[in-house]
Amino acid sequence: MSTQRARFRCLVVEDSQVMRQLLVFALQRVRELEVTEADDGVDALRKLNGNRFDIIITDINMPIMDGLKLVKRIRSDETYKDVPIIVVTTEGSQEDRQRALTLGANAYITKPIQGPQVVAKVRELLQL
Amino acid sequence: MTDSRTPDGLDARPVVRAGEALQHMRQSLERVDRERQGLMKVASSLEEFVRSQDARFAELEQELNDTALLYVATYQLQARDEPREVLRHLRELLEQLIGVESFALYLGGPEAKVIASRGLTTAELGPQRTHEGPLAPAYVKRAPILVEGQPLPAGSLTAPLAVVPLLLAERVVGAISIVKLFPHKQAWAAVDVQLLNLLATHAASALLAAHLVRQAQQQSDLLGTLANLGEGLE
Repeated sequence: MSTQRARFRCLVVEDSQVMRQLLVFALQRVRELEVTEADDGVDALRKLNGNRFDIIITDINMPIMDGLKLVKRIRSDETYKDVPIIVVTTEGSQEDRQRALTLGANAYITKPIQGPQVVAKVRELLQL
Repeated sequence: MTDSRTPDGLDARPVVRAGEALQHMRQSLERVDRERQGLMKVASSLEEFVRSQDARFAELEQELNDTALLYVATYQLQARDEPREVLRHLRELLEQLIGVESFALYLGGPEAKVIASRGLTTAELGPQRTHEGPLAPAYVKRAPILVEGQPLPAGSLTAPLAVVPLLLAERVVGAISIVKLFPHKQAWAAVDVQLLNLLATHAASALLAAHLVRQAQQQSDLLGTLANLGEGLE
């Protein structure tokens, strides 16, 4: 999905179609943003390779490569070491959340997510 | 011509002029003050207007979010052609959109059996009677029954936090018993009620539709196999 006015590119990494669709719906309301979707960590790395993304939103619990490994891999890449990362977590996974922040994530959002909350966090991190 | 000197013999004209200037300044000050007060009133009403617009904007954002949520829930339920996929999405909807930590989905009656669950042990998940016990009120009312409170009390299978009847046309064919929400979810949100109503009316039909699609595919596969077999025998 792309708009002519897009100034920023966002990668949404989420294995749940329900959550991914909801996140995309919410982020579509940010005019300056173009959203790309990825099913899991491996798909995300494939999409990150050779592309420029300004912000990444990732779930933690995903098959193949989870969000924590993804955050670690992203932060070790020179191109993306400063790109804001938001992790989406459930309340029960406080350890995962803390670990994600330690690994270099910038913020977290707890499920069930609220669209306006996600949009506000993205705006804050992109200084829109 | 009037005498413009003071009793002391001084020229009074500068004093008069200064007095007039002071008077003029006072009038100017009063005028400026009136204007300032008028502007402050305008600024205050503008601030009020901006505040009300901000609040309205936030309301609209929330409404848009809720509508998107309901759309996604309906779409994801109805877009599946495998009963197992419908159940998987149902689980996702409950967990990810409402914040359900444990639940059981029953089908049938008068003894409904569990066909999907989360966060509950097999030992807990026996059949439930539909004309008595925790499922009965929702079967009778044909609408979700929710326990209220903030924070919500602790739920159990015998005293669930919500029971959502699964409707097929006007018949109740099953129910979702919501036992526990995530710890940070202290109360039902307005959109939760809408989502549970949506599940009540759409979940059973989505399951049935997926089941029928699978049956039709199996029949079609069988007919195709038979046709191929027939061709091979000619």
